[in-house]
Amino acid sequence: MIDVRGVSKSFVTRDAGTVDALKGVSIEIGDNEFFTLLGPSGCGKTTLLRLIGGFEAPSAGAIRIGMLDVAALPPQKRPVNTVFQSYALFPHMTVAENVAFGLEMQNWSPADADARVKQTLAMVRLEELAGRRPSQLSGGQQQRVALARALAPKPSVLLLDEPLSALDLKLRKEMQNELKRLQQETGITFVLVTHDQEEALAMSDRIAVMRDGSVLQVGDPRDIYDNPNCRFVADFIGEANLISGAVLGRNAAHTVVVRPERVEIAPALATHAGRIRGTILSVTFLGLDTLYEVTITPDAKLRARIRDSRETFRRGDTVVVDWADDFERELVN
Amino acid sequence: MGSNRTMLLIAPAVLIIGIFMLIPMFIAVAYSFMTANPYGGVTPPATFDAYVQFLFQRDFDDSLVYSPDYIFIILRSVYLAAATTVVCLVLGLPVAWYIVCQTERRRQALLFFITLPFWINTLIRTYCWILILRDEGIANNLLRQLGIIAQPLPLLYHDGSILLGLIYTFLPFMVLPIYSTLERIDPRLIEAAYDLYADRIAVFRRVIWPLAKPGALAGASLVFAPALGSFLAPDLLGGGKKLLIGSLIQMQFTSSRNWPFGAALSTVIAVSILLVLMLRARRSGRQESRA
Repeated sequence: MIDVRGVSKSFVTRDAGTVDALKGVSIEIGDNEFFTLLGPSGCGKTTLLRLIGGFEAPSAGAIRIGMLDVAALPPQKRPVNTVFQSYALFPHMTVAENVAFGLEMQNWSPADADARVKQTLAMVRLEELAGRRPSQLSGGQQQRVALARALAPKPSVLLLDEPLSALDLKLRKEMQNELKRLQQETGITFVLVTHDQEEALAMSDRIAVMRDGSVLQVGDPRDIYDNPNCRFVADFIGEANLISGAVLGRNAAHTVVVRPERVEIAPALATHAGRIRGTILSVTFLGLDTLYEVTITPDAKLRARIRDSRETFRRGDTVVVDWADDFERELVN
Repeated sequence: MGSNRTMLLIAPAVLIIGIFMLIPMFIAVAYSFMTANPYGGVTPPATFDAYVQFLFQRDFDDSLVYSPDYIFIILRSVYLAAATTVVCLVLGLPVAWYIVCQTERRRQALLFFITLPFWINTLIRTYCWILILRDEGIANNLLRQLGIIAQPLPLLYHDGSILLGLIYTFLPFMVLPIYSTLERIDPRLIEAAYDLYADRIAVFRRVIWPLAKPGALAGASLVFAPALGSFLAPDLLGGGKKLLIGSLIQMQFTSSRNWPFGAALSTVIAVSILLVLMLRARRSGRQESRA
C-alpha cells in the first residue's frame, strides 16, 4: 500500500545548521495494516508521517501510495487523511460541518455528504453532538470528531499523529480499542505515530522502531518484544535487563538481554548453583507480581519480576539467579 | 459589602471611560443645542438652530428653504471613507498575511516598519505627499526624466489624491488588527484543510477568512470612522476645493466660529455610525444564534 524507499529529509535551522531528520528510511506498509512508527521524541517518526501526508517534501528517496508516486503531490491530491495531534478542528464550524469539509471539497452531492456525515458520526458515536462547536466538546469527543473528519472521505490511508497523547489514561485505553475497532471495520490502512510502546504493542499489526532518523527494527509486536535486534529496541520496548557478557563469563563485547518476568531467583543453596549469584537490593510489592532488584557485581544489577512466588526474599538475602536459555538474546554491541 | 468592593474595583475603568469618552461626547451633544457666540464658544439659550441649519437654508426674508448641501457633503465623505476602508482591506489583508508567514524576528521588524509612520506628525507626512505629487514634484519629475510624459500629470487636488492620502494614513489601522487575528490561527488548521482536499482558494475562503473576519471588521471600524472625520488629507491633498465633513466641522470651530453647528454635525455623524454598528451587531448576533 505504502512504499517508502530510501527517504531522507534534512532541515536547515538557524541555530543548529542542517539537521538530518530522516536518514535513508525504507518501509513497506501493507493493505489494511495497522502500522506504528514508534520511537522517542526527535527520532523522525513525525517527519516520516508528514512526508507520507504531503506536508513536507523528501530531500531524497521515493514514496508511493498504492500505484501512485506521491513525492511531488501536495496533501490535497493524496488519498490520505490525517488525524492531527492537537486535532486541528475548525473552530468556526460545527462538528457536522467539520466532518463534511472533506466531502464538500471533493464535491460530494449534498445528499450523499449528509448521509456520509451521519454514518461517520455514528461510527464514532457522536450523532447527538453534530450541532456543537469544537470548543463545546471534551478532549475525547474532539478526538472522535477529528477521527470522523479524517475517515469521512474514505481515504485509503489514515495517518494518526500521536492521537491519544492529550487524553487521560482511562480514555486513552478506551480510544485504543476504539481505534483498533475502526481500523478493522473500515479496512483502511492506519499509520500511527507514538512514543508510547505499550500503545504500540496493544494496537499494531506491525511496528517500526525508530531512532535518530533511522528505522532499527520492523516486526509484529510479539516478535519485536521477544527478539529485539539491538540494545536500544530491547530497552525501549517493555522492560529489559541488559547484562554485559563479561558478567556472565562470556564475550565482553556482547550484551545479554533477558526480560525481568523471565528471571527466576532461588535461595543460594549448595545444591543449586544457578546461572549467577547475587544479593537482593530491593523488594517492591506490585500486587500480582513482586519486583526484586538483585546486585550481581558492584556495577551490574538485575531486575526480576516474580509472580505468585511461594518463597519471598528480603533485602540482603543471597540468591541465585537463573533463566531458561530460550528467553535470553545475546546481542553484539 | 461584596458589591461595594466590586464597584471599587471597576471604578478606574468607569472613570477612564467616563473622562475620556463619555464626557467629551456629552459636551459635544450639549453644545449642539446651544446658540453660537460670534466670538467663539456657545451661549444660552438652548435651541435647535444648529440642526435646522443642517437641513435648511435661511433666506433673506427669514424663511427656511430645504437645502441638501450638507447631506451631499456627508454622503461624499461617507463614499470616500468607505472607499478608503475597502482599499485598506484589500491591501491590508495580504500584507498582514505576509507578515504572519515570516520568521519571528522578521515579523518584529516588519511590524515595527508598519508602525514607523506614527513617529512622525500626520500633518508633515501629508505635506510630504504634496512634495511627491505636485506638478514639479518627485513623481512627475521622475516620469518626465524617464521620458514617459511630456507634461506633468495632475496628481494633486482631486478625489484620487484625497483617497491616496486617506489610505496612506489609515492603512496601519487595518493591518494591525488583521495581523493579530491571523497570528492566532493554528497553522495545523491550514494543513488540515489541505489534507481534506481543499485548494488554496478554498483554504482562504473557508478557513483563513472566517477566522480573520473579526480582525477585518475591527480594522474596518478603525479606518472608516477616523477617515470620515479626517480633514488633513482632504484639505491639503484635495486643495479644499470640495468640502468634506471633517473640514466642514473643523471650520465651524475655527474660521466660522459656529460651535453649535460643528457640534451638531459631529453628533449627526456619531449617531449615524452608532446606528450602523448596532445594525451590524444585531445581524451578526442573529447569525450566531442561527448557527
